[in-house]
Amino acid sequence: MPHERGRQALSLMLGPIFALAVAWAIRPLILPLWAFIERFWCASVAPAVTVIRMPYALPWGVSLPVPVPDLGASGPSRAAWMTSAVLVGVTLLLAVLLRRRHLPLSLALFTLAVVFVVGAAGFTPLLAPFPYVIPGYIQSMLLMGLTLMFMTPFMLMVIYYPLDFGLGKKVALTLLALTWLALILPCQFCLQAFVINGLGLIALPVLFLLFGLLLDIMGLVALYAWGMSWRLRHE
Amino acid sequence: MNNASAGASLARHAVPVHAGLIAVLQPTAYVIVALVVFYTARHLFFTMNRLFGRQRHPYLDITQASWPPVTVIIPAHNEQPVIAHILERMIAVDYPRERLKILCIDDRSTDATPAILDDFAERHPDRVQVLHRPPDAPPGKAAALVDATAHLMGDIALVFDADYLPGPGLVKQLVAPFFDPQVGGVMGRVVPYNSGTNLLTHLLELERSGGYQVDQQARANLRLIPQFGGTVGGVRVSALRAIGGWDPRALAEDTDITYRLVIAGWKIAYQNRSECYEEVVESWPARYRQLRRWSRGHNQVLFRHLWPLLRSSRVTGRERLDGVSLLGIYAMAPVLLMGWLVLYLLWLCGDNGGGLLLMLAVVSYGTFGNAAAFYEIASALRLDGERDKVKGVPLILIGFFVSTYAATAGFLAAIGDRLRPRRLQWHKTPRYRDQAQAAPDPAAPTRL
Repeated sequence: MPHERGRQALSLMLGPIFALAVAWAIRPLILPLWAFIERFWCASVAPAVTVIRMPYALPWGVSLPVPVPDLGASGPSRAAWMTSAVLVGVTLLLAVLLRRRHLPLSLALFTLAVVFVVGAAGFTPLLAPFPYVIPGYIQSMLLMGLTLMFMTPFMLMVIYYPLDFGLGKKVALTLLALTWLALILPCQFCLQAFVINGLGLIALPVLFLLFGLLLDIMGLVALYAWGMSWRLRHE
Repeated sequence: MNNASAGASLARHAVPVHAGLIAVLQPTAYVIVALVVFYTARHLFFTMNRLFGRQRHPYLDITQASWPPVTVIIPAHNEQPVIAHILERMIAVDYPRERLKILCIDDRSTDATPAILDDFAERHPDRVQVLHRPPDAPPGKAAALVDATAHLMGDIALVFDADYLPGPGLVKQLVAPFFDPQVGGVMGRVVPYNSGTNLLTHLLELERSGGYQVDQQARANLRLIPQFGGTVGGVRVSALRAIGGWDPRALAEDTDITYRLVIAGWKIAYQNRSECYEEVVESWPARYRQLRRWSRGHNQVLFRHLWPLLRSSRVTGRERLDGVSLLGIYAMAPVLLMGWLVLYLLWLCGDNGGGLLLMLAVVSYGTFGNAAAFYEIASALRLDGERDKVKGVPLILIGFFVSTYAATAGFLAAIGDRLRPRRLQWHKTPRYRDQAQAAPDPAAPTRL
């Protein structure tokens, strides 16, 4: 039916429409919101810490002032190396002990230890110098977060919009997904900044790989699953 | 840290200082991400086909026929808790009595399995035959099936694992495709009956749903290569003999037979509505061992049959593409792990690979594990009418995480087998049912 086809076409148009909306909202809405959230957390946790804007130049001459907490951290000291070695040993031991009864947890601990050890190689002559500090790292993660926000409507366009959900539900799921990212990203990376500030740069690689974008995407998968459990139009 | 030092940190940020290493890692990363994207697209294509494409159920209407003689093979190695349940059900199936032979293989059992089988054979001498394999017989299901080949009746052999619970109409449904002379093998749908036991069984139900309701049916729709899974399925005996019979060395005799039949020009039929209930494993270590064995066997088939498949003139182009991608499915686990390692190293070198990392993070969620992506599973559950269970889909990451390691271990073992052939060790899949209780009677949900 023409009406049905029109409805379907409109559904599929939601992808580019929302992606463009995200692109448009980055400077006037998203980045100021992130700056507000980061300032809120900095004021609550460590009032002396300020939020600075690190500009990122896009190829077509537009600059994005990405807000990041002005925090620093040092490379691992001798004591940090010793502590890390002990912690890795304990983690591996726990992984072995839990292998029979709690295999997923055991494998998670093993993964954590391996990721930490490989990350720590970044501070050794093998891979040194370690190329990241807190503001630059947070800036790059938030930029990746913006890219993920831009991609999210396109992903939903492929795996959700073609299904026979009402238009309102498709819009609602998209807004939920974008809201999730808009709120979690500054909180997550502000927290990471404080953790790295406290534990030192050696904590950065683990946070990057295991507690970075994978967590955000896991949230998207959860929201998608929730959206998939909603009633179809004919149900 | 003040603003000036923030500026200094910017200068240090992402400066590639390991050009040589980056030059090696970056192309590797591109290849890996391309592979992962390919499998993600494949899962998506199957999902879309299942949701919106034309569905093929060509043998669904065959309910009245002159049913041919058929042998149902039930290999049993220490299956005391479950063997009586399947036999009770199999004896009650709707199939002409004189044309159905139930061939039970007591595969070197040391528990009460032989006595239970002999008891059934005594009570049903016209239908049940028991083949006792001696303790020194070569181990493994494939070796047991080789021994059974000499005792088959008719040209159709169906295979069931001992923990399965077939419904009355299942044998006819699985025999129906064999009226098509091109069909060399058939596969039905496996549904766990103990999915409510714990988190693992729940996750396995979700994985099975995606694997059968979407993946297998989409391959049937697209005339690709549905996979014979070694149980709730069967083979045409003449075709089996023509390709040399079961291979006793094969750890995944089902995948091995699938590919040998396809390479010889036979078709595999998938019957999505021929459901049979199974008991899925209830502990993570058992699941890990099971997946490692499947991966090892599947990758053995990859090494053996990739080249013959590519060279075969009897398979269509689309079958060849699907066959190759299906052969590689368990190899994707180490590829995925390697991808994360490579991109992590690149990032540590100050190069994030031009957004590759973000791409891998996104597509990994569509490729974790070995069988189905999260959107594939969600769609399968919708097709099954299991709307509420879709909310559990995010939890499959736990299962996929374990699968990735298990499949990688299996892949490495298969490479080890290739380099230095070893005698295979068989691990018995544990059973959780109580023999003393009546067989479970799972109510079949309505499926589309």
